[in-house]
Amino acid sequence: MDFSIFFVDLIYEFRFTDSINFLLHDMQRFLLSVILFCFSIAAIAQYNPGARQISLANSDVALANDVFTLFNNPAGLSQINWREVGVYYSPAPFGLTELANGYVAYLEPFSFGSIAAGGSTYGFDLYRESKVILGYSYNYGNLFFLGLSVNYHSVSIKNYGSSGAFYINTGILAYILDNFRWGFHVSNINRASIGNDDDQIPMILTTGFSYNLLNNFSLNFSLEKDIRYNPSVQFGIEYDIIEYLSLRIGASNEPSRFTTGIGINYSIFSLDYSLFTHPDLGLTHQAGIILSFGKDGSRTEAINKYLNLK
Amino acid sequence: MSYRRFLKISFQFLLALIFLTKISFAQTDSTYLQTEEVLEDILQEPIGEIDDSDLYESIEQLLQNPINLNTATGNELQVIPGMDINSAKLILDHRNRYGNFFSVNELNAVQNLDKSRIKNIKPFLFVVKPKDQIISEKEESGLEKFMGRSSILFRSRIINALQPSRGFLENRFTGTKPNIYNRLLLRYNRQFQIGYLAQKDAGELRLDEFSTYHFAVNDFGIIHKAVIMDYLLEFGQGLTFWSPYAFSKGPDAVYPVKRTDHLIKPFTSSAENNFFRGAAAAIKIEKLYFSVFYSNNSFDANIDTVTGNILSTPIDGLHRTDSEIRKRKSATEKMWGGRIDYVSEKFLSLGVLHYQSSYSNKFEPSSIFDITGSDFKYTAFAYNLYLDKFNFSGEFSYNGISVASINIVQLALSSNFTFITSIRSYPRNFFSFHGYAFGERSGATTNEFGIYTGFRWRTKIGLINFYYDQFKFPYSTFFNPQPATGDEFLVDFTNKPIKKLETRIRYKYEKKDVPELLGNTKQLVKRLRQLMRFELIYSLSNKIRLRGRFEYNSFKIKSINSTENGYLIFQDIRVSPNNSLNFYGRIIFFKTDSFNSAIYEYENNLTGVLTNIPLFGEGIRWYVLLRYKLLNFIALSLKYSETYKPGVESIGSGFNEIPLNVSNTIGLQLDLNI
Repeated sequence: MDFSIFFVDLIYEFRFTDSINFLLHDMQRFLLSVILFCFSIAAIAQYNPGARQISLANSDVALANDVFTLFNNPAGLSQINWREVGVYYSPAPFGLTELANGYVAYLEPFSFGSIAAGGSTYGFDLYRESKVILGYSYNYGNLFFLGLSVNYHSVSIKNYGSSGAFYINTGILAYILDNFRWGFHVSNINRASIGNDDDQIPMILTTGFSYNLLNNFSLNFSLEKDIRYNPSVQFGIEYDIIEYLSLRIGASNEPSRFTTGIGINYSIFSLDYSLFTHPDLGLTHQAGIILSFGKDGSRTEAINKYLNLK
Repeated sequence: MSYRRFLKISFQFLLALIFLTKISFAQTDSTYLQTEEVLEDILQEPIGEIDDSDLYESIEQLLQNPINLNTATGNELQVIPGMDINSAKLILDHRNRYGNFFSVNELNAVQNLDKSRIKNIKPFLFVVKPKDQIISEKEESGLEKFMGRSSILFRSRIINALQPSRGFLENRFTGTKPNIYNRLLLRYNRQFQIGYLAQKDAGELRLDEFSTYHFAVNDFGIIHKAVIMDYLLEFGQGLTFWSPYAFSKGPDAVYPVKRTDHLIKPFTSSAENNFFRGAAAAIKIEKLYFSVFYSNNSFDANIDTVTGNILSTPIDGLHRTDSEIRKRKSATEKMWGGRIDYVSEKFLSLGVLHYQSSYSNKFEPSSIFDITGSDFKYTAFAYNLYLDKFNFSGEFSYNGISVASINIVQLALSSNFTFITSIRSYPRNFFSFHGYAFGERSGATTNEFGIYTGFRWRTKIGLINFYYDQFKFPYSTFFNPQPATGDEFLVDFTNKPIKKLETRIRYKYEKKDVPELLGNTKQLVKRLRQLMRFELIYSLSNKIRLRGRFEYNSFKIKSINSTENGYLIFQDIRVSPNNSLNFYGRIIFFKTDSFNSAIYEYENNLTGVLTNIPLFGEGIRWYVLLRYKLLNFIALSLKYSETYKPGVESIGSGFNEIPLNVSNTIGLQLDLNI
């Protein structure tokens, strides 16, 4: 199921059918829609970063405790009271370099809340999507966290120009107990789209729970509803077996995925690696790195200390 | 031998034994209730309609041969249903720290061991009395001692459907209507056992249409286990050898996934196929176990009259009509092999096995996906390793063409939380005749790849079981025109809001590719099946228990616009006024759109019979079950059931079809335990 070849073929087909009485302008718009449609299918290969989140089958909406939560649930950002930088790269998902995607994120904590900025790129020279994102999170009494992010999402197709849109994500994270959290996140709350078709940028609602069974063991559940697809149930487990090593495992349905990964935490570095299976596309892997400046001990310990949890 | 004569002889024989024997109290009544409850707990997910299942036997056998709490290893403890690594570990730790258990009740003192679990595992364990008591026993005369240590278990059962089915009405069946079962087990000192079983299905002619016998030895000198005549083999995770039934995915997310094998088991069930006839023995030399086995057994097969090839191997064991009788034991398998196991009690066990089998006839492939030939060789390897909180286990099996494997990781994080994941890969060209592996299809070891993850979590608010399984049948088969995929998850939540009240909520979601005729071509379509269950169990006192259930089943195929629903409501009562009387009664109302949305209902039956019936259409079913312990060593049970479907003209299909809208069954059983 090679989407890239399919759509390169499409482009050439349309370029050589120019003689058909299409106005170039209409033609472009039509083509953009066709390609976007193809990519909305291909987009199943695209998951939010980073490697840690993917190895938990993206069930982390209520965990939300590293810099990449900027993309998943910005509310979690103000749980973190240290500076953090993350880079995530997936060079060839399922062996297709055309689906390559990369993300960067930066987080700076302030007294009035945390601010984070990031960006992403997806695609290849003929088709590329990129995104710039700015997020803010407010900490209300160490119990309740509110997050908001503004995204600019653009799509460019070689020889046919580009288009873009602004959209807003918002999320909430609440500590019901010291070790039990509830989080939810709505992506694209203003229902922005690209081109003339609706829902080219999906509107997604995610809600979930996260429970620390032990301080080094968290159990995460979430339910994700993309406006275009059936709801997906996701769950993930993270086990920091020793301070330097985290083991992760997860699964989700729609599409059915089995995910696993490890994290190596040393000094300011957290190196994460993840693997997952897709029923049609097979197995793929990706990696990411997070640099934390001024974090004491493990992530959970540092957050518990900051939020005065036991 | 006529039935009457048989009864007469066995009665005389038993009378003689009764007068000779000192009556012992080997099987208490709680054992009976226990088997029921354990089965109910583990087996609630439908696995199809099964009677006389080996599964029941295996649990009953365990109850009758409990495990010595003071000598059991971690692996042995895990044979007990509901016992996970964690609990086994807690028990062993307690034993290592405080010494041997004085009684099974001391389990209550084991720290962190879940109290509700103790109730379920206690009947599977025993503790040998302290030495002084054994000395006093020695003063008895030789005969008394012999009798005191031996036991006789006899079970006789007759089940009869009141309405004759088509097979009888049209005179197609050669035999008589009742289903009759007789079994005798003689035991001495938990070391020796002789068993005989004779059974006839409804419509079969002879009383011993199926019969099996065995002589088994346990822990005698260097002999670890040995069986002469009929036996079963189990190895690793069931890819190569397993009993004909095993637990599959169900509301306990952890227990059914990892297997603990029994090596060699005497065959005591009336599942008529898939056992071995010959001899098997295992000897133990320190940490090594050496086993050999040989079998020469006939089995039912449909044989092509021209080529002499095996067309199919029916396993239902029914020999009622002429054509069914023709296929009776028409092919033979000669099998021999051996295995070596290394078992280090604390953390590691390894096993290798090799066997060869040759069949009297060749297998005729009906499509390119089928097996061919008559000679097969298997080599398998199994491992089980404990590392801190982790347990790794698995099996690889090689049939000369390809390797099938299953690997399991279990994490016992705390006494309240166990996580398990397993990856299975059964290639298309791997076939195992005697295996029964974990998977989506009951036991099949071919053409499947799957990943299972699940956990069992005891929280303050109740017990949560969750699993997610995704599976793929990567090659097309005779039934599936294309490769198929599917996934399913289950959440089960049990809690006790009030001391005497237990509530259970379950949700199961299954999405799967199934073949469907679209136009003129068979194509795969996505089928969504969802199941919801609510259940209340109220124990009025320890004598009366009430149970109510509502179950809803929905079945949807979007591409052909098919939606079907079904539901079931039942009310159930169990009364046990004293130790010698148990009464069950249940009334079930059901309504489903068709067989597709059938709801399986596990119900209590005569001891040793397992009933999991699909209920479909619209109607009522009710039953009463009475078990009365006449004397300490005689128990009588009776079951009467009725299914009534007002809107139909007949019940059942094929030869079993009854041309009425009501069907009744009566069963009577005698258990002697001396």
